[in-house]
Amino acid sequence: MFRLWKHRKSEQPAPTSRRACPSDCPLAFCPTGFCALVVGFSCPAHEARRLRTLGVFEGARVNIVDTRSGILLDVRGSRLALDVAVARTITVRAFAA
Amino acid sequence: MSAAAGLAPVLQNPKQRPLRVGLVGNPNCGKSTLFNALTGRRQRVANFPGVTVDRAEGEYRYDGQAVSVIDLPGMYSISPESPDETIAVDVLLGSARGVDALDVIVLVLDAEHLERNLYLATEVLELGRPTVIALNRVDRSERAGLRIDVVELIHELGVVVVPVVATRGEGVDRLRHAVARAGSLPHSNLTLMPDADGTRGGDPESREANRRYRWISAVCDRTVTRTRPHTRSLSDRVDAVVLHRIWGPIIFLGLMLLVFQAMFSWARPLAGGIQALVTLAGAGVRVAVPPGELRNLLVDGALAGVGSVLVFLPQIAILFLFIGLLEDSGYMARAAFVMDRYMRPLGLHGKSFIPLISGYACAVPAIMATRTIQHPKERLATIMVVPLMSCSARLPVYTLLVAAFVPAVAVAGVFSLQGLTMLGMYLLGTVAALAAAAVFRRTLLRSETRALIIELPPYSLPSGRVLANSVWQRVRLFLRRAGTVIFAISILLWGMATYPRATAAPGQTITQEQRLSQSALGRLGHAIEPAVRPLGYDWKIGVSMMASFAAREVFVSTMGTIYGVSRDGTDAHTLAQRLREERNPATGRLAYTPLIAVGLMAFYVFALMCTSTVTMTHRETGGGWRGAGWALLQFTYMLVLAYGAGFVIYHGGLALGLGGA
Repeated sequence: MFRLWKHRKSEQPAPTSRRACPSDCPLAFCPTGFCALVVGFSCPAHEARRLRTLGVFEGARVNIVDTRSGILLDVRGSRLALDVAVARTITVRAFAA
Repeated sequence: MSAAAGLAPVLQNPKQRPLRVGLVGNPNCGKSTLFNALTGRRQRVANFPGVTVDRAEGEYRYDGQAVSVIDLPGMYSISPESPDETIAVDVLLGSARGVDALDVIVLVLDAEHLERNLYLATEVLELGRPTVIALNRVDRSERAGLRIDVVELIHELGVVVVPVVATRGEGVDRLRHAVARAGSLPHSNLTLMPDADGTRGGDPESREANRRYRWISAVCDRTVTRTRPHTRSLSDRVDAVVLHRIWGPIIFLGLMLLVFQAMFSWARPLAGGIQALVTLAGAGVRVAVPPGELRNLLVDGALAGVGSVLVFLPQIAILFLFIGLLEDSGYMARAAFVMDRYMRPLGLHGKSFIPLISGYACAVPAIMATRTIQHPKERLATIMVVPLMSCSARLPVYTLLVAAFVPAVAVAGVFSLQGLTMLGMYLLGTVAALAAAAVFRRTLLRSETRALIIELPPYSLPSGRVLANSVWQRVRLFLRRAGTVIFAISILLWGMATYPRATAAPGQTITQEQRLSQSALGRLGHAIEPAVRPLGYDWKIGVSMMASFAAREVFVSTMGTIYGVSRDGTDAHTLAQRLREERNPATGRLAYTPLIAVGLMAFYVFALMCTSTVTMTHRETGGGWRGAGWALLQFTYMLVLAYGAGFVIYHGGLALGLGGA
């Protein structure tokens, strides 16, 4: 329960100032509450195609909502759930919220 | 493009034949709800992507013109990735076999997620076909603080945009009007040229996506105004608990336990009421019809058979009420996400979870629901194991045996032992399905498991009307089955259980049991008894099992008919009581024991006794010889599992001194 409470607290503040990560990294490594810019995909072409149609394309900004069971993203107001394996194939440039 | 160019003939001469209209859009944007609002039909709707996996057709008339509407499965793009998307794209592009080309496309956009929905819109508008946009859920977008300038959107997209709230029928008449006039209105000439953004190099698909989203972003900047800042929604707050890696599965199991508990405790008074009505009807027939074969046929055949199944109607209604609540609230997609990491080691991913859960209701639509799974081997593995999920047709069998042989005592002061036994049967089926999937994925259907990419819909308060419709549809189907298949089989079995009539030797009396034993049904039962005897069953169970190959509920109706025929006219005991007290005429010992009941329930957990499921498996695995091979394999492996489980439970129980017949 304490972890839940801690998790909720970590999501509370709206992003006001942003701090870029030193380099690009897989989406799976981004913590909850971060905002990320999609840089590229190393997944199979059909998965990249599906991600693009769902709003995750090179240059898109996504918010990491939850990372406890896979990755939950906020993509243009929609909630998109990815398993960790596919999140590892998405390279992003992350910004701290 | 001019308005008249490229139009289907019907738009130029609308009295020729019905105008063919296709509803196209992203999954879960409200197409089926709009279809129901337009046509008055009751197509199934729910709050998760992939509810509609086949096309559905309906009609309405507007201004003297017949309009035929096709509800299509959702798609994110016109490059299909799964069988359900292929169906939609084929109809959209006019390449579907046996389906005429669409005259008008109604593109349904979810106003709350307009930016994402516009991706498909750009592709559809580029087709240059008569298109009307239904901007659905404008009420929800306004509540979320998004104001959409519809006039500006019409200007940007170059087609008519009609704001609608399909759940309340708002804007539906305006949409009908726009559809009727689609031929005389200009249709889109949108073209996003490859060099429009000046991007050079890189993956062509990436460039195309960038180009589209750049255009979409510009359109949204001009048409959408945020009236209040984005805040953490209630859905996010609920998800913080529901998607938790520990609490999530616990919540899911708790919900399942609640469902089975409710099926027993809530349904009991209602089932008692139906039982009283059946008894009353029997008494009424006895008064109205003089003694004779007709009265016996009505009371012991039809009423005993159909009535014994009808008493389970409340349980089935409650099961569907809960499944409807889970689907319509938006929880189902979350459950798939939470369960993904437990299913992945077995070779399945989260998307297989929704068909598996749908299997609790009925395997037939659950097998169809696998069309949302992209990879053929993952889909096939899911199809092969879906019938192991205990469907509602098994419910009467479990309920009868649990009510007869499991004492109604409380466990831990909260749960009833009967409810827990039911949950155990459902869990046994679920575990068996997952284990069988793991075997298939490591042998015949070996491949790498694909990634899970699933959209989670916002939570919504389930609509009373949608829930009532969902429950009513299933109740109606159950009643229809009781009134046709089960009624016909009950009459047939009554005839077989009554004739030929045994005659007593002079000076001797013949009991009801002896009469039944010498009837055609009794002789058939005795012939097949050696096959079921190793499981501890007598000929009556053997015959009932054989009859239930048509449909599982027939087991209960057959037992009802057998005990209806064999009872004395004054015996008012329920079927469960009769089973509990039944004695073996040869030994005088109890014929059925809790051990036999558990073995029989396990048999029904595993056995595929449903012709509709076999047919659906044949169709969905490719049809022809290939489909027949998969259907035969499915039927055989499940029968072997069922027989093996029944055998092990019975003989294992005997070895442990738990008692048998």
